[in-house]
Amino acid sequence: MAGLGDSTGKAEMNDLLLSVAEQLKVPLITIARQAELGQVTGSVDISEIVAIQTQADAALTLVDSYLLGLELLREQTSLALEPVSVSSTLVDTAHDLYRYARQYGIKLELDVAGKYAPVMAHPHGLQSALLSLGYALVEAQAVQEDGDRTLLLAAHRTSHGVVAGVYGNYPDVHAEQWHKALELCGRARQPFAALSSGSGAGLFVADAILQAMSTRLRVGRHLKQVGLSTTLQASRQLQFV
Amino acid sequence: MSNILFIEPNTLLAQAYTKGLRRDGHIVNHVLGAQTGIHAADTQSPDLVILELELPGHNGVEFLHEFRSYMEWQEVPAILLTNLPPGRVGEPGDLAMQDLGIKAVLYKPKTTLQKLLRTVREQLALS
Amino acid sequence: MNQIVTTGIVLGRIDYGEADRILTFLTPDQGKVRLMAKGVRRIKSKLAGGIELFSVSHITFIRGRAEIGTLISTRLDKHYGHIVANLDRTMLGYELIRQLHKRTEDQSDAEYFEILHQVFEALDDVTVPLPIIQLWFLAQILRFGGHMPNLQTNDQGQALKSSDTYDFNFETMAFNSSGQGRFTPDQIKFLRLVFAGHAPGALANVQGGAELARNLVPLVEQLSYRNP
Repeated sequence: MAGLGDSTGKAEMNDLLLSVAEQLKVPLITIARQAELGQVTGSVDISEIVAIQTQADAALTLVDSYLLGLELLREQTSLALEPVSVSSTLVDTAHDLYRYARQYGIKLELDVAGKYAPVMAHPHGLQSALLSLGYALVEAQAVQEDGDRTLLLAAHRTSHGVVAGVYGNYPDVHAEQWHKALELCGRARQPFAALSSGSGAGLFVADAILQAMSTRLRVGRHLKQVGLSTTLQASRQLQFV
Repeated sequence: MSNILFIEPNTLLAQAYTKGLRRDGHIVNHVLGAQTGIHAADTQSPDLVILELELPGHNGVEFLHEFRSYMEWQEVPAILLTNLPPGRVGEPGDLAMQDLGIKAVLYKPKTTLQKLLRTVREQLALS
Repeated sequence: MNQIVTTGIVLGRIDYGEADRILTFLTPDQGKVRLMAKGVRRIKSKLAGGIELFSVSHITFIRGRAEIGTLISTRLDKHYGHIVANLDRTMLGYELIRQLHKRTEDQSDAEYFEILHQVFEALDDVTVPLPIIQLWFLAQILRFGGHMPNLQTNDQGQALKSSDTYDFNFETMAFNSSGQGRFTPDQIKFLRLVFAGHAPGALANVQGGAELARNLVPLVEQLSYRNP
């Protein structure tokens, strides 16, 4: 993304805002209808209260991640990166995502075995990005009509660095579609229809946050599952100790 | 009791609508997308379809295009319950909408459960 | 029996009995053909393969004695997946297919395939505004139907001027000068480009093209209604 100060950067952030605003309708409508159901029936099921809470959390996470992305992109040239453990971040993400995934009947799995060098990242930014990605992919997995309802949060090492990602059963997801989706963010109502029936804002917010850290989301694979991941550079600091 | 085929990709949102429709005495068959919508209609022929246009993979227009190609489903009324803003979809009187058998267009953010139930009752009474 | 191999765009499908379907294809060389797909079980055929909306397929068929031939095979050549990523584009695409299907009821001219093909290409490209695609489609239908408006001279036979505004006379199918005419020289110039058959993608590069098209669609729609 171009610098926020110039017209290209502003247009892209505008597109992202449109995407976020459109996505926020979903949890808000769900909350409104669940609340109305309670009024109509005169009683409220505990499951309905949990649904309301998880939807509210999802909406807040999206807004929060969007605002963080905006802030990090503004500071991009002076952003303070520090050594961050990818494994710990993925574990924390899984904890935060658990309740939402359970609401949608999605099982979470972690694959962070192995020793990974810390990576240079903005700690809050990396976690927000992975959480934002996680929320979006839970929803995407929930609408897959066939197959396994499991989401995998995983890390692995490559020659370029440590790859952290979220993966699932998405048979129609390809790199070309993701590139096209990035162009269509905020300009098409379903920029990535293979993954999201809505605006897919969580995916693009995650990508925006990662951009501030000089990396991006890309379509990746882990143990035969497909998803979106990012490659992070190992911290060299410890090498000089 | 009427059989309603309800195509809505968001499970939690669908739960609220489904509970309301069942409470109003309807049998509701909820599915997530276009393909399972066709399968579901095959299993239990619906008296009415409620659908979101913005579906994963194949969208609601593609679903209705396929659905209407079967003789036994050509007269089944369809109600759109969609996130697509008003004016972007068209009106039930438009020729394309008539072809697709769309009898009512409801904008989700402005459609309460009560409004949906009222619209369902109206369309079932007309059909 | 000779098998015909060609490409086709599905205009419509209808169930026929328990296991057969009749598909109507628009082809570039055979015009509009109705083909029976025998024994195509519902579950497998739905929403998949070479018979989806917004697809161009390779088809092989045998002509029948009656109007309906027999479909031997289909293979997807291109599916315009970006059209369905945006429902506005899907709705317009569906509407234009519907209009073309109706318009070619008694005709089988091969040019209509190219019109629809170009419409799909344009709808699939999100940089091409919808009013341009709609205007282009209507204009090409009029052009191939031999109902082109006069875009060079007014109804008195005088060359149109770039300083005047005009109203349109449906009787003479020409513009006439008017002190406070509805149509500007820029709009008329754009209409010339559209009726000349320039692709929608090229028309999208004209500055202000979307707005020009939006203002011209009602006129060209009227022309269509009057010249079915």
